[in-house]
Amino acid sequence: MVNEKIKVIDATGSFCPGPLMELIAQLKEAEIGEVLELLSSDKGSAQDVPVWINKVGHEMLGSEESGGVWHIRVRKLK
Amino acid sequence: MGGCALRLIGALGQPLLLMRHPGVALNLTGREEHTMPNRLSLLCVSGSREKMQMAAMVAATAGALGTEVIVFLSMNALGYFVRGEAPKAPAEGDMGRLMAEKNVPSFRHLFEQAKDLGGARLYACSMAMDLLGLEEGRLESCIEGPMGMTRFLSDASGGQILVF
Repeated sequence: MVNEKIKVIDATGSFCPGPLMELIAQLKEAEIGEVLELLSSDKGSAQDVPVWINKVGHEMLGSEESGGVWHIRVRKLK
Repeated sequence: MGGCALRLIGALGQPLLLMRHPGVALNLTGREEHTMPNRLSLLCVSGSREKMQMAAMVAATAGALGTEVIVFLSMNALGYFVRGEAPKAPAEGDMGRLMAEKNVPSFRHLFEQAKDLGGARLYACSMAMDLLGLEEGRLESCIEGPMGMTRFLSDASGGQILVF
């Protein structure tokens, strides 16, 4: 998809399960098909958030670490 | 901490064996499968910063995973949910002191998120309310209302109880 709008949620500095809660709150507001990118500096959340995404059935698009910040991208599927 | 819940449940004649490993089920091949129970009931009593934080984290995360969460607030844990009062939760040890310094989400905020995002239901122990002379109107809005021990144990029956 060209020019796909990605909503960025900056949860850096927050600890588990803060980033997950931020993501869930924003996903509730998002449209189906929308892509969100969660920024988290919490290593535990970087491991946990993808587990939650797969468990509830959204699409995990990727997770990359850069300078101690994880960028986790997810597409809302329902 | 689970031992207390086991004894309570045992006193009501519930099956102890099922409660000992509530998150483990055997599938048809005989392999153990780890599952979340459908209902998780949290009994918050100590009021320490570490235990309140842990309980709130469990409530928020379990709710987010689709588990039905009931939180029963009693003893020293109820005072944080009275309107107009904001007691500081005492730390049990270094971790609690560290959490106060770092940007850890407050347990009050996490419990509210557990309710708003995960459908957790929070109740105030009616016995503790009587002792404190609290009317229902003094409870914070995130609390559904008062609940007695009998109803809590009855609602929690068949699920898992964690004590904090």
